[in-house]
Amino acid sequence: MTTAALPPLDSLLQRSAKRTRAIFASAPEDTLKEDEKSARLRLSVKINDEYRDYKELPASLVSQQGLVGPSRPKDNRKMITAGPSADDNTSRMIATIDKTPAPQPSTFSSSSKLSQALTLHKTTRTIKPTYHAPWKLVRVISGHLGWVRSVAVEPGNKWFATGAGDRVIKIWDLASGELKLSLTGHISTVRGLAVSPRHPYLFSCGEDKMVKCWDLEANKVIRHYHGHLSGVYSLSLHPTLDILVTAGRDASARVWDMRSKAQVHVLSGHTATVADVKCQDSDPQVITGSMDSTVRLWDLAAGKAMVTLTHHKKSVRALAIHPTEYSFASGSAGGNNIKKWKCPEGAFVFNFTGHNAIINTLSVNAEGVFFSGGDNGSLTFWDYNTGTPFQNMEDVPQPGSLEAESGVFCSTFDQTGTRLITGGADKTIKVYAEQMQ
Amino acid sequence: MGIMALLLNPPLTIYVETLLDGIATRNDLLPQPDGSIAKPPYCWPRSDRPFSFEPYLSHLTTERLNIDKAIKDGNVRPIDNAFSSPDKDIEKPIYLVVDKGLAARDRHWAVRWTVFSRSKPSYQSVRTIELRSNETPNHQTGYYINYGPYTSADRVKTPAGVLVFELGRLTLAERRMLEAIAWNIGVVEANGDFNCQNWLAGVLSVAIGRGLFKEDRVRPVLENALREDIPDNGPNSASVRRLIHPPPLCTMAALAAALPKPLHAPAISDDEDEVVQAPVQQTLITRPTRPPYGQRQGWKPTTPEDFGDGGAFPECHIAQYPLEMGRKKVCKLLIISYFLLNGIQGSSGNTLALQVDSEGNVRYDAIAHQGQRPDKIIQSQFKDLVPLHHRKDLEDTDRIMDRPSEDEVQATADKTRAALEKLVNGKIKAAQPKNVPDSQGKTSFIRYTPGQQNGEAGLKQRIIKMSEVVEDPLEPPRFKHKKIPRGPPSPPPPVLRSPPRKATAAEQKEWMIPPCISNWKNNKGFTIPLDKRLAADGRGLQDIHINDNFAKFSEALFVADRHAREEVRQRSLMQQKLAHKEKEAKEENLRMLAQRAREERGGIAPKPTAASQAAMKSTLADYGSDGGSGSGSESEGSEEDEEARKIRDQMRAEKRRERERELRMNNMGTEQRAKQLARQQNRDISEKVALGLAKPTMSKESMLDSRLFNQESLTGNFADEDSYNLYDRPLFHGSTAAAAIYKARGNITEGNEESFGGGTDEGIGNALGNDRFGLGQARVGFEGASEQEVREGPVQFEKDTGDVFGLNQFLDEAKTGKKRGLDTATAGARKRQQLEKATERE
Repeated sequence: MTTAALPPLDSLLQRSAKRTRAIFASAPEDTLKEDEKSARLRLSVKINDEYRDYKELPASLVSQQGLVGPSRPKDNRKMITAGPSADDNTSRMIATIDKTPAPQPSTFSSSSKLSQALTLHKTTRTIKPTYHAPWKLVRVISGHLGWVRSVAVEPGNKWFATGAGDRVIKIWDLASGELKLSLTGHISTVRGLAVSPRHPYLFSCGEDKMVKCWDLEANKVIRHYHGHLSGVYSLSLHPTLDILVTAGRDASARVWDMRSKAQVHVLSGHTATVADVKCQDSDPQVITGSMDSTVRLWDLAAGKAMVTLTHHKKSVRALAIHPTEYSFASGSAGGNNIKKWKCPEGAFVFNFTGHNAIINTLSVNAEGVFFSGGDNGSLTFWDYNTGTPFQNMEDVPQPGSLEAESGVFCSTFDQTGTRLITGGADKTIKVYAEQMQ
Repeated sequence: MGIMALLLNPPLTIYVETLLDGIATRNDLLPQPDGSIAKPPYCWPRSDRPFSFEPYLSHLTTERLNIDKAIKDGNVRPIDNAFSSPDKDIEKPIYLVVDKGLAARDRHWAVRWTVFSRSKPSYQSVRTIELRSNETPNHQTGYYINYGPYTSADRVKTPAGVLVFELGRLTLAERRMLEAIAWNIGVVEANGDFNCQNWLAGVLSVAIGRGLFKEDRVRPVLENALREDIPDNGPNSASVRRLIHPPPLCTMAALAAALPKPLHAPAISDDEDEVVQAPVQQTLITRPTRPPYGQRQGWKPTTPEDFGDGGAFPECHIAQYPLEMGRKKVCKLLIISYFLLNGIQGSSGNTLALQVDSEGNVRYDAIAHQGQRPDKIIQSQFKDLVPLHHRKDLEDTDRIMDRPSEDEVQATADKTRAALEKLVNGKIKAAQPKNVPDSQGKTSFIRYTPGQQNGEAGLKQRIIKMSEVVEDPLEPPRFKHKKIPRGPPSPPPPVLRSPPRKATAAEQKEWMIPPCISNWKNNKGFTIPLDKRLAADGRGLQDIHINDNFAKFSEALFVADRHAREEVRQRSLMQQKLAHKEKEAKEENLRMLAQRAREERGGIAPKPTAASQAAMKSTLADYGSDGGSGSGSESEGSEEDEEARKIRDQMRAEKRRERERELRMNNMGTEQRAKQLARQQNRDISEKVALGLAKPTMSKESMLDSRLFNQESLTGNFADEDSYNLYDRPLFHGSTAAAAIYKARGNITEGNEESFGGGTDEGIGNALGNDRFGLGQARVGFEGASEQEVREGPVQFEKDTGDVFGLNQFLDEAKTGKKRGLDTATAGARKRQQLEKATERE
């Protein structure tokens, strides 16, 4: 009834819109917009009213917390808004009004952006390794009747000694590879050898719990260092003191006075066999690697462990101290198994990645050639400074050996660092040399 | 001015020299609009947080506040809690807080007002303006220190009672002003009169001068505080207050009561601080009340105070720990609390203080360092897993890995040597006891003069011989040497590796080793019966099917074989037959020939037919056996027979001799026979040795290096026990010793000109005749050698052109048809020749 009497709504609306347009079409556009100044005023009032107490942490808290925590991106500070309505203009305005002090960059985390941090990582990684000539096998010496478990080069570089599972220590001419002498006396595998640079002595240790001192002028045993409770697996001489450190299956390393045969220290703390021990002239003077998968650095004067490195996952069988750099490396089984450490505090330097085997032996020479020999006969040569492998080889067992007899047990560079002598499970001694160009 | 008024008529002496010059008029003392006070450029270390500082807000030097002296003596500023309990901008009553129960001038005075914690609004602290005495144990050198105003919750708690007087109400700005005044009033040396009261009077008088307080309000307060008969009902009234001791802690109980009650009941009692709520008039000290005997039903003695000095109450049936005996210590590993923030070690041994590093991070690894030597490095943080080049917390200098210099190495070596020598010397000394206890023992003589000689002296002096009791060196030790059990190991280091991963199913499968199943023993070790074993084996169950063709094939082979054999047999039979026939024909022929011969001899010589002649010729050619002498004359026949008989006899004799020799040899010993055999087989080298011709055998094998590879050595001296190969090689093979002994003296081709007499005839003759060993000419010589003709010079061979086997002769005879002497005519002829030669010789 009444609805029918009313005029249609559409036309009314149309007319009204037309009128509005007629009124405001002439006016300039910006009068319609909100005044910048008033908006700013409104915002600042609002911020002051509502957020005054929350704008800033109390001074005490700021001082307590200021340096911690991740840093916020510095520019275009944003606020959490209620919805999509807050346009860019508003947020910019808020940013200009806001006088909250920008948080100081934390020293804990880098101030740079994540991408920058990543690129930084990349740049630090890509240190160029130095070139090393490839190495090749130059001589195979067969003479032992058992696994060759230890090797040591004489300081004069004229000969070297090997100890093997046939209980014999053999002395070979380094240049010609001829057998010079066989020393018998051990009644089990000879596991460690060392020639003293300051005495005419050769030291040997074996699985028969014995540590012997041989006089090389008479080729006779002149001393026994008695005290190990089980097989002795490794032996090392102190470079400056008349001290001998042996380590073995009784989970201890023992420090002996060379002359008086007195046991100076028992370095106990490992919970499993100590597989390798190395000495150097400055702290830490003794480093041990153990089958409890830790490496310990010892304070020799006090006889206490200074640092325990627990990074390795499996038992640590080999250690190598760099002759000129103040660092050392340790090797175990599995991936990421060779690690380099910085002395004296034992800071982790990096991993030598790429040799997935049980590492039996490590050697390093002064030119930065680092050698790792695996239990499966894989050999890898690395650049010590960067951890880059430059040569992978396979140990070739002598004819007549089983396939399983291709392991490397011991290795050493000669005094000049130009030859690498290894002893293996195929009962041979192999000599590697740098390839001449 | 107000200050003047107070100075003119003071209840206490106000020391003007303590005041800052112009303290009543200087405007820079006033707080700035932002609330801060213009501060001189000096800060002091805060006691509660290392490496943080608080402003020192005095215009006076630190000497005048005695602060530098205090720091030197080890005093620390009371912790200012203003950061956590800020002074809010509201008007507050300001109180003078006075200890009671002491002499008027011995009471400690302080001006205080309450503040509340920001985080816990019901948690009350007070802002205090007071003078403190030093806390050195040396009481003689007591002095006062003005640390400036500070906020502390300590000041709320007290064991003693206090009196509280309101001085007036001040706004925040006015309170800041009051603090600034307090900052700028120094202290004087202890002179018998000056104490905290004088100092506080100075503060208040300057405040009055600055219009903060009303003089007519302050003066009666001070006068009241100085009254000797101040009400005293505190427990500590009898205790002596000393100047040097820290001022008594005052409770703000009264103050708290005067304030409006907090909205929520202050049920919060912090670990360290407790707010004692008490009525205004009296301070209430909760004192352990022990119900009298008989009324202890339901009473639980828990605290040590409940027990006093006594023991447990048997009538209370709960666990009781008088004197804390038997109570287990509560191990709190890590208590994060305000006090621990200050680095104060927790009271119980196992509690560890929370520590922060220089960046304010909580050091969670403190627990790993607990109980370790300080120089021990313990890697326990994530940064220890980061490669050195990626670490952010290190400088470049930390990454350098240079070996220490010579001097440092030398220093290390010296240090270590000293330490080790000490140990070694101790061990060696212990092992080699130099001072063996003297068996006689040391004997010493002592002249002894008795001190108390009772009147008459029997002996003035005595000489006492003192010697040690002789010990039997072989006596077993009197005390058993017990081994001390090993101490606890050092705490394990933090492990910086991920735990070992679980073996995947594939890996587990790879490691599965199937159990060994024996055919012979069951898994309990008993032998399985044969039938069961066979049954389990399943070998007998399947029957074997062999192809028919195998049988056919073998049958065919068999048949063929038999056939072939038959053929061979037939063929051989045929051949035999043929041979037989031929033989018969030949015999027939011979018979015929013989017949004809007999006929010839008998004179009835039938003319041989042509055929028979031809046959005879052929037989002659075949046989050739008839002697050529067959054609000799009749007269010669008898002569020839004679000769033949002689020869036959000789041959018979020779045969006999031969037979005898054989017999002899059969009877010979084995050794002799061996020698004989050796001679026959050319293996007797004794002659060669005598001639120096024996030479070691050279072998190609010895030229090889058998050590090159570790195969079984050919020259090994020790062969297997099983293999009996002792004599499988020539005697002189490779043995150097043998070569040295049996050395050939070279030969001519090798340049030894003298060997074999130079190769000339006379030389060889000389060499042979050379009686090297002076034995003279061999009379007997070698066996059979005497039968040989004596040679001059070396053996010479000449070609035998004669009829060696007598063939020509035979043929000639055959042609002549002479009768054969013997069937071994040729041998006989040879023998005959020899015989002839022998007869000639003789």
